[in-house]
Amino acid sequence: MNAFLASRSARVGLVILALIGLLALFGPLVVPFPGAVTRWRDISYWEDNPAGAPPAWVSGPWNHWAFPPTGRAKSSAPLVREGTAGRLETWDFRLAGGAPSAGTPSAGTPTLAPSAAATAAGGSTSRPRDVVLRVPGGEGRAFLLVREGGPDSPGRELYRSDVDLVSGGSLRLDLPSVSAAELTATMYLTSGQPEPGPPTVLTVGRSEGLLGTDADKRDVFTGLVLGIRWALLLGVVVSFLTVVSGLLLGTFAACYGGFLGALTNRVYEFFSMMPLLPFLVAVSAIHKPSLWSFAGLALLFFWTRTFKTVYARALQIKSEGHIEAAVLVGAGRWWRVTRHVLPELLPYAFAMMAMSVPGIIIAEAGVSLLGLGDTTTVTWGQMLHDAFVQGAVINGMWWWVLPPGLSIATMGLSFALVGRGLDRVVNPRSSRR
Amino acid sequence: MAPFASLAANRIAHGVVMYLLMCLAYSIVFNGVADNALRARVDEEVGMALKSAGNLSPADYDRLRDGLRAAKIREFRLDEPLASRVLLRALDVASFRFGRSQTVTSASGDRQVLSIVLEALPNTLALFGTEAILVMLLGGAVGVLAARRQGGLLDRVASVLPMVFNGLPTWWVGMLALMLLAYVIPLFPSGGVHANPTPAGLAGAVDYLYHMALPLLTLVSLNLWNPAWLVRNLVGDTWERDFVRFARAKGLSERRVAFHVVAAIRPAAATMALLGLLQSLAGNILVEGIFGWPGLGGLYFAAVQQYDVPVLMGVLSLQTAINLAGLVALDLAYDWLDPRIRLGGSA
Repeated sequence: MNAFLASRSARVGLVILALIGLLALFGPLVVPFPGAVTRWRDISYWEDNPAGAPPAWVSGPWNHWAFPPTGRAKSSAPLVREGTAGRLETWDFRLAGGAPSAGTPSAGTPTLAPSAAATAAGGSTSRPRDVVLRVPGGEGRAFLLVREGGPDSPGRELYRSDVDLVSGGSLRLDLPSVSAAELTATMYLTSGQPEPGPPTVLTVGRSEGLLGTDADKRDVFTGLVLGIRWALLLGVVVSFLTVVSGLLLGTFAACYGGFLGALTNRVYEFFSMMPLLPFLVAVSAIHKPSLWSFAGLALLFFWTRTFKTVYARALQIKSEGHIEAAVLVGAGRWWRVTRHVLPELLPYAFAMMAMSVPGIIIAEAGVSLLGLGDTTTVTWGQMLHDAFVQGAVINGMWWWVLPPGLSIATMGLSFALVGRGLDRVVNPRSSRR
Repeated sequence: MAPFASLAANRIAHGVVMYLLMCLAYSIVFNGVADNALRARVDEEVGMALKSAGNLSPADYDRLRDGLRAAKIREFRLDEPLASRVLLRALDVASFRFGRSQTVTSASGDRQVLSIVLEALPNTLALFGTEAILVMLLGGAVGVLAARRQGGLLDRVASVLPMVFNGLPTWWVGMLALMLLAYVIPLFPSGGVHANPTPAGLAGAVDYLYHMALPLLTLVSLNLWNPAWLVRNLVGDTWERDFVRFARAKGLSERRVAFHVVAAIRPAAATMALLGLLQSLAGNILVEGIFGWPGLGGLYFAAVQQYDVPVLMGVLSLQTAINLAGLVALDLAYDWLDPRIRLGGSA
């Protein structure tokens, strides 16, 4: 163990792995959208995010804050006027990120390009922004009027219509782009209804969170963190099972031989010679697997990698002096295998477990890339599939393409480092530097 | 030479048996969908025949339809028992009689799977053959240079990169390369093998190479490092061996000494190169799919998307055949390159 920890690469690998493990366990607590665990594919969960937006840190003084994040508008207490037939509520919203409006807002047509004067003044107010208005709860109908500007300085009208309130949910209105810093919403409610909650206004940003959003408005960082658990689970479980089965079968074929041993060798040849990915892809395309049936398929192929090494090594060990000595003192075959051969092979097995993880994760990602993954989970391969299919490559949406691949690479590298560290300990001759 | 010939015959026979077994496995796994595909074709072809039959009385119509259907079912052997269906289909696939595709067509509109597959094969061979050659040359060069200055910068880079790239999906790097070098900075074409319209003659060949450049660059820059590290280790080991010291002591020039070293590491290096080629060939579905390269992998990508079972089976069995042929060739090449392990010891 000390020799293992002495190697720097193994320590680095372990630290990264520990971080990955922590993220896998506590991921839902740190991500900005914890509901994604169950609602990753639920469009309504993501509806307030901008689509295909770069990360928030892309925005800065270097581009005059061209990519503002999503913001909630603050509202003052409503102005309420009771009438005979109902009640008129007027809400005044200051749009987030906007400078306080000075005088009358521009009431003309919204300009598409930001005006130089406004950006120079440090405000993003004249940049047109998509605005969403939400009215939670209530029942029946209400009349709704939304205008740019404050209650005393009415500007362009954005919305004027009767609306159906949504009891138990919320009414969501996509308003036209707004360049003003202030919005006024006026609601006319006829009395006697269960009243809706206070309306909220959201300015849809042009950037989102740590790693931006995909074309379906999903937060890439959230997907990335939630993908860890599946990559880790699949990689660790499958590599454990493959190495254990490879170890047992290899020892069996080497130490027992006979017809079954030869048969095991033939089966090994069969699976090691079959082109892995095309077969996986074909089976997944036709039988639409879950993550677990993928694990089963991978198991069918990946045990061969351990088998070969174990078989060769077990043959060697079998003919070593101490085994012959054990034979002489009357040790049976079972004793020799379980007390001498397997214990000597176990350290190799640990190294091989660590080193076989990257291959499994890459295989899953590859199958998912073709759109053949398990659709009930979010995996990095599926994120890359979505990215490729929905034009992230063509449109240069690097925040959607880079992170999942880098995660695969980082996880692969950390397991490889740990595996190499273990390999050096159990197999000192292989360390060359 | 006789022992080698019998050894070769043995290995090849073994390869063929493996190939037949794999085709049988495919046939078993895909029996259900292949049956469904054929049934759909029966309905389609019967429908077409009935449409062209003109006006018939209802009784005649029914009789004709039943007759046609029975004939088609017999033609496609759907009336056979399950076991023989599976076996016969395995033999068909093994002997490259793939039948007709469901949706995918060749460039000329042909729906014979064999001609579709054969149309795609040259592109794959061109891309991956070139890749293998470049990887071998560059990997060998990097390996030798790293071995000559152990502990140097190149050596350290060459020791780390194989591990880093091992966990890196090649197709993802392809996506990045495509995004950066074909879309953000449009240096390379974004897919296909030819510009539209295709230039004639020499310009056409140049155009082909230009289209091949980006996938080639991706594959070579990633796959180069494993062989390089192997060559580095082999050369480093071999350089200290007695026969090299002896060659040097004889007064041979460094060039001649290097030939001794190369001869000694040739079998291992060839194994590595060929195994690497087979591995990247097996991964070609994703790489060709990403780059829109119309080779076997690109065809497979399309067949998966369109759920075209005959094409899927065709490409799969061809890939298997190539893979097995490569492994058998590897075995034989190993014997041939390294006289010490030649059975019978005739060398």
